[in-house]
Amino acid sequence: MKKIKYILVVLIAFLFSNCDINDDGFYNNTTIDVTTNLVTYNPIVNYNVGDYLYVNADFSRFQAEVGQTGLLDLYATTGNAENYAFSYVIEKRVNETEWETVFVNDSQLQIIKGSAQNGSYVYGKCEYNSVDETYEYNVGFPLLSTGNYRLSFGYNSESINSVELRSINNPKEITLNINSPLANLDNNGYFFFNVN
Amino acid sequence: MKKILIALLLLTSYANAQEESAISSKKNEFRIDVLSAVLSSKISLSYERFLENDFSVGININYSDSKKLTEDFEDGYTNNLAKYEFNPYVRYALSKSKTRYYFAEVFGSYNGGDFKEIIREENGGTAIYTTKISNYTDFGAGACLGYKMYFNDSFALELLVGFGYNFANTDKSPDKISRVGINLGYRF
Repeated sequence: MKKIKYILVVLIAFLFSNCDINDDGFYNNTTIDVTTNLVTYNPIVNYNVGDYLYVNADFSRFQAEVGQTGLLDLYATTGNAENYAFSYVIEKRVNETEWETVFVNDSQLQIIKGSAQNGSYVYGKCEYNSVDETYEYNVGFPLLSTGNYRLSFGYNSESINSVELRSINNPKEITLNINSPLANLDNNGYFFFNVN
Repeated sequence: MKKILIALLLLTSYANAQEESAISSKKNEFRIDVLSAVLSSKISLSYERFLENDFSVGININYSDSKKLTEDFEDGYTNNLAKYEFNPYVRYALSKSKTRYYFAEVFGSYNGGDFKEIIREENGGTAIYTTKISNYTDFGAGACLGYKMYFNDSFALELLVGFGYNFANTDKSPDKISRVGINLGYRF
């Protein structure tokens, strides 16, 4: 019986010693709001089959931050992050109430600037252009069949009416999350368009 | 046969009484925590002074230089890095035996380390966010339960489990203080 007690005390000691005494979280991380529309798209309501829906970004490394004076240097803050990532979803109407995500192969995306991967959402990465000190993205999504479609940017974000861009950098540096407003979305965060 | 058994029991009791008496006459003890040294690269030393009526008082001093905790701090998984602690304590023995017994402890803590925060710095019309590392200190208190056993009248093995809370500067310091150890000691 005594041995069991000893073993129990030792086990409890090991369990407690593995407890993290520091407060958990992720602290190399900060979020800002900017007034500029860093991500844009052409708000065309009617497309034809075979057209592409282009999502663009071309923004300076220096951005005005809501509530602050002085332009924030997005590049220096993040230890020279080469990419800012964001996501968006293109869905097609299935019936009156249901929508389904449109899947295409990555090779079908028309990547002009930056990079993108398509799965349950499009994961786009703006790339830093050191010549003009801007982050750039320009990717076309192929519209392959007729129907009603919608575009949204809230998949990996807490907000439906803004897009969240996240710096991709060394974890020892500050990861910067940027909330940027979007134009032409309805109150639920969607832009609706048709493919004829 | 019965007589032999009774004689053995009496002999054992006598030996225990002798051992308890020998330990009781020794009032000081130093210990080192082997668990913290192995798992957390923490040097943890303790002194205990035994008083009358099953009470004892002491102090525990810790210094931590853990590579893993430092990496977690640098990578942003924590915003504080505990480095040192001074933990004065009072103990009460819960068992009658002096050679093997459970005890309860209350402790105070003065502790400190590094704290990291993100600040905005402006310079010539542009600004950046950057991390600023400063020192913190805090006061805390807590309680423990433990078990102690002696070998050869002087050598101690002690198991200790407990925790406490900081209360003066928790914006910067860790909320919780853990006090866990497997100590080896010498009583004299």
